[in-house]
Formats: sequence, structure tokens, C-alpha cells
Amino acid sequence: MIEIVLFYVGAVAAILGAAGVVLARTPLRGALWLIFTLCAVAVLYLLLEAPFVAAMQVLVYAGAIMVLFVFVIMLLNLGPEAGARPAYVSVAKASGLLACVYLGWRLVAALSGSGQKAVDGSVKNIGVLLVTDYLFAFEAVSVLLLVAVVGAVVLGLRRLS
Amino acid sequence: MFLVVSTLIKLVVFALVFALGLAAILTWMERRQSAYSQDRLGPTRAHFFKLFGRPFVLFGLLHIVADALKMFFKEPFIPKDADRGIFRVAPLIGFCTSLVILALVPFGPDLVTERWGVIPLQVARIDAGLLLVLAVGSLGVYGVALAGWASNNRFALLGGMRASAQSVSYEIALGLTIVGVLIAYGSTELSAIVNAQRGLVHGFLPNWGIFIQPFAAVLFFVAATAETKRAPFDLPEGESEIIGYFLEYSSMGFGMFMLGEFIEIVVLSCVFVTLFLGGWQLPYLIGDTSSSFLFGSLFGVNNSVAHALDGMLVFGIKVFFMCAFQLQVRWTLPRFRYDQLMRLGWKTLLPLALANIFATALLTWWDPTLKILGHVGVAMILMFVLVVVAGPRRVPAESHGH
Repeated sequence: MIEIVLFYVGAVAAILGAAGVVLARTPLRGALWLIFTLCAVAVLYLLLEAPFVAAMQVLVYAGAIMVLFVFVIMLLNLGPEAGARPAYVSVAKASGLLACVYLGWRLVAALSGSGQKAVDGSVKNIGVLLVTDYLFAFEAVSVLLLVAVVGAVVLGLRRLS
Repeated sequence: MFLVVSTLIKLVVFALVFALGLAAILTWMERRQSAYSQDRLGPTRAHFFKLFGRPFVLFGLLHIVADALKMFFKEPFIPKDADRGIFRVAPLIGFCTSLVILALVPFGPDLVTERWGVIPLQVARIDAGLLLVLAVGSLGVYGVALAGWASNNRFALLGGMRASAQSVSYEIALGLTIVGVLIAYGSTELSAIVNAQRGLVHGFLPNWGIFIQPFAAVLFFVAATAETKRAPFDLPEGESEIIGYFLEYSSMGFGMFMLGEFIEIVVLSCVFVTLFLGGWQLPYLIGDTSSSFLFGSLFGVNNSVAHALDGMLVFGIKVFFMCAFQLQVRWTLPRFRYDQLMRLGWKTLLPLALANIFATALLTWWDPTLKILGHVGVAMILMFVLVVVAGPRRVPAESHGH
């Protein structure tokens, strides 16, 4: 009972937030709506008994990556969009809507009645899986991140000198 | 239905009555305490009536009421060209994130009842609790950054930028110091961490985080103080010289930021007590599910309710002690310079936290019963004490001809 109520609260909040991202006139408000959506989706993860995914969603996306987005928007001081929109925008909107409907249809078709069993989403289980079954992927991703960090430092230094 | 009602009761009792009440008292405590450390008396004037011919001031406690009334009845001013919506929402963000963290903290032992089964004295028992504490804590930065930006004032924006840079930098150190505790106690769930701190190492030393992980405790406290933006890390506000992010806020908007700071003190104390001071447990006396010492002996019973009351009392006292300690820190240490702040965060805390993870993992792997970790911890505390007591004293330089 309570789960259903919470699910609908989280789902409606996520959809409203996503609509806010698209409809916001200023970039900063768009970013804030995106943060709101990410938090609402984290609530859904919690309801799915995936607390680790929920925590990481908020910690990494809402708490770290979006902070940088907001930082950049603030420092560049981006204002609201100005001027008339080019003609292709309405075409893009229509095709986006179509793609959305198609994706939703495929998702519902794929997920309904598949009888997918919930997996153990505890921190311990995910940790064990990361250092056993998915060790190579895990290490590869960390090396990739290291490369990105080194690349950022190199680029930054070049601009300094 | 019972779940909803009991959760709401727990929320109201712990988050609204305990945490908000303590935060309100702290506003008074800080003023009195700063007054004492500067040889003043502090606020002792507000009163409504006279008792026996003298104003009834109640040690100045009525100033809390007076301050609240003042905040409510001031004009809420919004600057021209400010982003009105964001300007209004920003003070709420930090406030709400602090309250959400409280939902994850266990404030007493499980209540075992015949009628309703086991009721955990914790609003949300979530497997990844500690990670969620970090996650929600990392959202608090938006309140500050947005307040600075929405004010449409360059000095407020700069204050907001200082604040965000500071909290983003210290979040990393904060997250890494916690890893040592996770390794030692083997759980990310806060009540499991509290339960793991039960018992004694070597028969006399409480199995508390501060003894098992003294290094992490110090690092955590420093990093968390930086997150609360209080002295010596109060560069984002710097209320006496440089201007802070809440420059344009008046009335309750400013009141929310001020009260939010005190709630952050309470939240930090709660998390610190949970991770490093054994939560609601009192070594040698309470720890098991039934033993009770104060309320049990007072009413001549030894049941779960008395035990829970004992636990909550102990938790409250510990939290109060940590709050008082933070106030003392603020009025003892001078403010850092900005470069010192960044150097401390990135070049001192971060490597030390990494070293702590490495050492803890090694020692826990060597001896999972934490005995060796306890040895090392006690040795470290003794070393701290030795350095403080017998370390070189810096003689104050003589003043030249004043």
C-alpha cells in the first residue's frame, strides 16, 4: 500500500521534473529540474530495494556531476534563450516525441510479464560482484577515469603556459 | 498503517523535537559561550514580565523566542533583478538535506514490544545508509551556491563560489575517512555500525570508532567541520570582514541559514556519535537488548522500554557533548586563509585518509577481531597526547617597543 503511494509520488515527481528540464527557459533552471528528477528516480531505486544504486545516483550525479554543470552555468552567466527559434526545432520536437512513444512501447513490451526476479541489491553483494565477476570491467573503467584526469591536467597546463 | 504512524512519530520526536529543539538551544548556547570566552555576559535581557521585582530572564533563554519573533516580523526583502523563485527556495535546501540525514541515524536501541513486534528507533533502516548520508549531504551545497547566484550580487556570488569549492573539496576527504570505519565494522548500515561497536577490546577498551579508528575520527571531524562552514572554516561567510552568500537575505530567509547552520552542528554530532562514539550504547552498562541502568532501576523494571529510554538519554548526552565541543572549537581557533584551506583539504586530509584506509585494511585483514587495530588506535591516541603535552612550545615573540 505505502509502496504504491510512494511509487506514484516518485514517478510523478520524476516525470514533472523531466518536463521541467525540457520546458525551462533558463539553463540554470533546467539543470535544477534535472537534479530534482535524479533525486526522484533515486526514490524509485530505493523502492526497488536497490539502496546502493540510489545512493550512488544522488552522490555521483546529483551531488557531483550536476554541481559542476551548475558551476559552469553560473560562471558563464548564461541567460534565457533569446531570439526566434530556427524552423527545424519543431521537426526535432515531433521526432523526439515519436522516439519517446516508441521507446516506451518497447520498454513496456519487454518488461511486462517477463517474470524478472529481483536481484540482491545490497552494498555487500554489489561489492563482491565488482571484485569477482566484473573485476576486469571495473578496473578498465577506473583506468579510463585516470586517463581522463591526466588528460584534463595536461590540457589545463597547456593553457596555462 | 502502523508503519506510517510509527515512522511519523519517530520523525517528529527525533528530527523536529530533539534536533530542532537542540539547534534552537544552541543559538543561545553559542552566544553565551562566546560571551564567556570574551569576558562578557552575553544575552541576558529579554523578558516578558517581572518576578519578585526583577526581570524574569531565565539565563537569557528567552532570547531564543525574541530572536524568532524578530526574524518572523522583519521585512523579507528580495533584491531587484534577483531570481525570485530560486532566491526563495535556496534557504530551504540546506535545511531539508540536514533533516533528511537525521532520518538515517539510529537514536536508540530496538524497541521490542509484544503487540507491535520489533520497532527500530531509527526512521529509515536502509542498507546503504552511510552512503546515503554522504549523498544527501552532498546536495546541501546547492542551497549555498544558489543563494549566492540568485541574489544577483557579485559579492554574494563570490561567497557562494567559495562555499561550493570548499564543500566539494572536503567532501572527498570526508568520504574517504569513512571508508576506514566501514572496513573495521563491515557494514554501511548505521545501526549495524552502532551494534558492531558493542563490547570491549581486551576486556576494558570500548569497541568504539574513536579507539579503533582515532585517526579517521580526527580527519572526519575536521572535514565535517569544513562542511558545516563554521570557524576555522568560515570563509564562505566571514561575517566580520568578507561578505558571504547570504548577503541579500533578511528576515526568515537569513533565519533559515542561521538555524540551518545549527542543525548542521546537530547532524554532524549525531553522525559522529554514531560512527565513532558508539551511538546510543554506554560501555559496561548498556549494550545488550535488555540491560538497563537508569530508567530501569528508577521504576524497578528491566524491560525493553526502559532500555530504549536509557539508550536515547545516552545518545542525547553524547550529541550534546559533541555540539558543545564544536562551539568551543569555533571560539578557540582563528580562521584559515583560503590557500591554507585548500592545501589542508587536498594535500593533507586526502593523503592521510588514503593512508588510513590502507593501514586499516591491512590490520583488519591480519586480525578480523580488531584487537590489533585497537592496539594501534590506543598507541595513536597516546602519541597524540604525548605530542600535545610534551611537544615543543612556541614561545610568543617579544613585542618590539610598544
